[in-house]
Amino acid sequence: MNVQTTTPEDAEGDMLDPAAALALSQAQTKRVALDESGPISLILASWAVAWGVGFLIVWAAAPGSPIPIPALFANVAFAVLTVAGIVISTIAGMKMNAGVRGSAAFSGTVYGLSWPLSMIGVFVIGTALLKAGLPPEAAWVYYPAMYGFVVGVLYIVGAAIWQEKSQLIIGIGMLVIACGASLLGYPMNLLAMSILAGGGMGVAAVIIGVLGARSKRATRG
Amino acid sequence: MSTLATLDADSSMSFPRVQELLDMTAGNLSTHLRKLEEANYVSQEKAFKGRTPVTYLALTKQGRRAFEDYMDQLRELLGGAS
Repeated sequence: MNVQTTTPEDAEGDMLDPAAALALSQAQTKRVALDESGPISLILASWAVAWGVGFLIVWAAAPGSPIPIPALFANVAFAVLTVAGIVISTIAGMKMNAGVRGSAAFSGTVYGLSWPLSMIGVFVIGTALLKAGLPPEAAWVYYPAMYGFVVGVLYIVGAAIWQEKSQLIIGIGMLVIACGASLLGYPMNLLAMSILAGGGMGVAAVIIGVLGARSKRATRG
Repeated sequence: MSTLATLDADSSMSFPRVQELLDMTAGNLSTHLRKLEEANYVSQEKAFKGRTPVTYLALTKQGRRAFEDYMDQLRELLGGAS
């Protein structure tokens, strides 16, 4: 780049050699991508809690459970945790494109809205199925499977939009878990979702949070 | 320029966001941006977010080309390092 006034410099103002200049540029590029890590980590953590705790409570309320919990309490707790997950995901998603204008901001806004819209859609369709005569045991196969499936697809779409391999791994993992858990039938699918989906998201939240923090330190030099 | 180069050609980023990403003071960032603007590599657009004035930054077409050429030259100099 033939610009005499903008040669990359280190913190002391000395000019960087080519290798250092390239490394700095790559670190700054990565920093932008991993700056999303804070909101993504928060989204993952909120679903880790919602599903890890929510599905566990509902499993505990199922007939034959070793931990007797009233069904009404379990259903309300699950609904509250799911709503909290949707609200946190929506707010965190909106923050991901803070300060950006143009097509990138549009993508981020539309993607952020797709989360609450799809979750509400799953709930409404489930309600319609119950109204059409779906037994409660079958409903508890539908809801976890569809929530997990939708989350998996949304992460895969996010991976496509932002070219993020970590989101692709999370998305495919969630699809596998949602489909596999549904095959276990009620109520074991709930325990599987609690441990695998909730636990998996918790692990992903920690990893992405740590990677983001390291990236921030790397660009500070 | 690396930070702004991550945006699409029709997107821009606010000054505070760039400052946060680069962990620079406002004065330091302004100094760098002035040089890039003088070289016609970066454009600044003043807008309002509600009642708060915000400056949005973007690479110009010339700036994007210059950045890409620079990165290619660096990689060539370093023997094809990615």
